Amino acid sequence: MKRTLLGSVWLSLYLFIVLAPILLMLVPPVPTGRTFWVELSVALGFVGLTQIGIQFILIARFRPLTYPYGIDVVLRYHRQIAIVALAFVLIHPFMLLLEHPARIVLFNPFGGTYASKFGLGAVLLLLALTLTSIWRENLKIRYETWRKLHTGLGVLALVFAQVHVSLAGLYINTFWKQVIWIVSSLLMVSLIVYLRLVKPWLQRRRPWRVVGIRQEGGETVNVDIEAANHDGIRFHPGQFAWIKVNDSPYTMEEHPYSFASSAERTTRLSFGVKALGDFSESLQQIKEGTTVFIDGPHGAFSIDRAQAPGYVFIAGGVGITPMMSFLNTMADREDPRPVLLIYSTNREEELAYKEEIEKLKGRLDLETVYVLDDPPHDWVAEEGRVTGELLDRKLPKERFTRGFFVCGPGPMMAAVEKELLEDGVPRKHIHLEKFALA
Amino acid sequence: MRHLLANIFTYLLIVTLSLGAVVFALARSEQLVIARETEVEPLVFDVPERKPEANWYDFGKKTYVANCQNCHTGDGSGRGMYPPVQGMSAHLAAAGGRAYLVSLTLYGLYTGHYGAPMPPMPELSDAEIAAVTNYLLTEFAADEQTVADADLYRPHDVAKLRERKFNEREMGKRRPPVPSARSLGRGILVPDDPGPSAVPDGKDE
Repeated sequence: MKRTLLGSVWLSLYLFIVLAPILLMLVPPVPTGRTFWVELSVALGFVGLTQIGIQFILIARFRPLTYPYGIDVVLRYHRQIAIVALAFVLIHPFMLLLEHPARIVLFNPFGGTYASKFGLGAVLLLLALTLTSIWRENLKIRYETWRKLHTGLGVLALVFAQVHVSLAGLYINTFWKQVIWIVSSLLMVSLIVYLRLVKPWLQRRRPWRVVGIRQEGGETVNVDIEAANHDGIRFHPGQFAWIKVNDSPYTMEEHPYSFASSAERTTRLSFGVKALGDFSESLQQIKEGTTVFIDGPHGAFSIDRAQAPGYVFIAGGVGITPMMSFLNTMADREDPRPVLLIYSTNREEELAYKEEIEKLKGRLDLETVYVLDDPPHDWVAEEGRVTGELLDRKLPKERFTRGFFVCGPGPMMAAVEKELLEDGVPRKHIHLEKFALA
Repeated sequence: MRHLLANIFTYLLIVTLSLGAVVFALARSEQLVIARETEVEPLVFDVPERKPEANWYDFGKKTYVANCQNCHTGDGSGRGMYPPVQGMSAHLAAAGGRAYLVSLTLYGLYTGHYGAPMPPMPELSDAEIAAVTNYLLTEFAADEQTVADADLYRPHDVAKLRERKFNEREMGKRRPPVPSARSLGRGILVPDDPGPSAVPDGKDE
């Protein structure tokens, strides 16, 4: 209930903020109305700029803000609305140009006015920001480099856009209107300062130490960390956190990993790391005693948010990690509800946490189905992928009342969701975490 | 489920924002801000109690603040980035100057000397253009310049000039032979000029 209320409050506030500039523009003295295309272009420019400003709030990882929706939804929205804001901001100058071609002189970076120079700069920075994000992999930009680039370009784009508005804005023709816009932009930029300076400062009293590293199947390594002189964190099973491996929290290098441990243990956590890139490879070589900082918990993918008389967990590859958290937590709570775990990987060596899962069978009403795409000759269990036919056979009779949690590679989750829906499972009962950060 | 709802919200928001921008543009271009000759206050919402007293100075000043100040700045100096609108009464004496001053507001101006073209502003009413031109001539007059009442503009003077249509470059060519602010040092102080100064002293940085 609190989640729904909070979620509605943020949405209403958001709608007000995005429409407020249009209302602010109508505060006298108002310039005489110009042609429709000029006014439309200006309105789109203002709306685009507001969206860009709000992006800073969305990525600041404020838990009260992201908690009602799930941070994966908020970050996806960040990416979707970025394209829309870019489109509005691009239409703005071109519409003005079409309305009056003499304005082409304003597109010259060495001519025009300071207002047009900063506007041009803002547009180019935004284009660079969006294109390096969409095509990061094609452009072969390393993730860590990209993060720094993204922050820098974002801040510069907002600053340039604000200068452009202050200099060009016919609608910002009073002292107070200027103040409102400038202060808002400054507040947004200060959120970056908050994320990079204030938040780490608050984290520095809560370090964690690596106390165990265990090789699991499939190039997955289980890392155990223990709270050093503090009471740890409370999280919901299935949530994740950004992990920083550094002696001090003042580093930009952090990566998100799901907890694999029980939520009932707040000072000793585990997470599963698959070697997918530079950071995760180095994380797998980590030594005991290394200091680690965590930013979390985040995420809406949790059994605590979806009560049901029983569960079906469908995991693909490293998606087993949040499932382990679910199982460990349920075992610690002595949860009697029935659970079916369907775990799919390519080969048998890739099955991670197999011993832990088998041990949990003694403490839970747990049934497991392992599905291998490329099984060894003596494999007697399921072969192939998680298909509709397999689900039909393996799902319990009371499938429509169970809660379904699916986690794995994007295409696998999409396919499984589709099969479940076709099977008649209500959409409300299917839970996914769509996690693609870069 | 969350993702589906989020997607629905996103698409609805995009539609709302686009529609909001279009409605705004329609309202503004259809002049829901009223500036009529009989009522000198530009209003967003019409207030019937307003007295229709013709205070042309205030009206001109309001029009200047709302439409011109953004580029030409509050003191008329343009701060080097835009042409100064000070000491314009020199144009009244020059041949074709009277028409020039109004036409450039109607049709815009681009001489290449300054970075941005002056946009055409035909949406301003006759009364607004007359009032704002009078405001410039009187408020930003050079010390030695005075403008006789008979030389000030009336709305019907503006109406007569609306028939012709020039583009910005043509307007640039029609400029009367009055010394430009640029030739006198870009609109900043002109300390030793013996002749009638196009730029009053002490009004710029």
